[in-house]
Amino acid sequence: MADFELKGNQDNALLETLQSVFSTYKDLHFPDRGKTRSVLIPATGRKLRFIFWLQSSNAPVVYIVPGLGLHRLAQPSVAMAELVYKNGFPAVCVSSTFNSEFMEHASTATLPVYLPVDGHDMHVALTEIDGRLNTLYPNRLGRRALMGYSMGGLHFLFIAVTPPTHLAPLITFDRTVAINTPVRLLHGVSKLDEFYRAALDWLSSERIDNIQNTFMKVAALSKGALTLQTSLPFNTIESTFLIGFTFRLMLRDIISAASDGSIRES
Amino acid sequence: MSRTSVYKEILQTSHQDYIKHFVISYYATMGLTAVTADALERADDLRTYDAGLRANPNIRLIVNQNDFLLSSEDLV
Repeated sequence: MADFELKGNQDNALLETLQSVFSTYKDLHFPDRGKTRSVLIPATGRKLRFIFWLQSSNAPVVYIVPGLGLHRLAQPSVAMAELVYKNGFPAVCVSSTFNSEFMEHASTATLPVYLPVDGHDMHVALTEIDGRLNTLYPNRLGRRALMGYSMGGLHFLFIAVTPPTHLAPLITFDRTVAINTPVRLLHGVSKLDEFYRAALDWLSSERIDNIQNTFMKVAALSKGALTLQTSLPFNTIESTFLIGFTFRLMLRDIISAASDGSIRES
Repeated sequence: MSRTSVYKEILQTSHQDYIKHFVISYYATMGLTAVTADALERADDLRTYDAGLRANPNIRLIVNQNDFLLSSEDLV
């Protein structure tokens, strides 16, 4: 049984980050109303899936990519789509370039992280998706906007400054919105590595127990009705470690996906 | 080797290890030797695209000042 007694100080910025994990869509049926289609990515010869919600009449379309490693159906991704849709815009969600779905079907590099390659791959995918949607639903999509969270924002900002080229006729966008995007990726990941080592701040004699208790608290909270209004019962070390651990698991999945035999040989 | 043991081994890899040892080596084996650690650091730094970003009036940024991934120099 988890010990919920708080020992030590809390860090609001870290707690807000942890709470963002629990941000989700409000209408439980919203994901079911989305349609899933796929597009052939010429460079990989594979089909990339995407999900979209159209309005009944023509309106500016918003393409959404979530944060590092997240799938297009992850709760934060669908929550952004719901927000966009309920404000009158069609929403289209694509998985992060660091998610196995994108890596396996649309990446030209086995290992994601190099922005010129990953950003270009995303741009190609969005071009294919936009073309497919316009073929399926003529005159339903208006001007185009990008909305990216964290790493998704970084890719979209790269796309926004990419000059048009005649080599690959990539679409252009009328608006780019980047939310909480890192400025220097390497600085960001060095912080995540530092966070993962936060457990070393505990006394060695107490470390295993503290780690276990932190995970037990997460498990208990996951079963309960945790809302955005709920104050999370984690001190600074626990919050820091949980964020570092979450991103370390994402890195594990990235490396695992890259090592998987299903990855296209370049 | 079981998936669990592979996962345990992978978990020892930090994000910086991934970039320095995996990604740089990968691009080198692909013949893209221009993707060095320094080149990658520049390419993944938004300040590299500063002029283009500032010149684009259609970009909107939403940033939290207490974002732990940003340093004070990033918020300038």
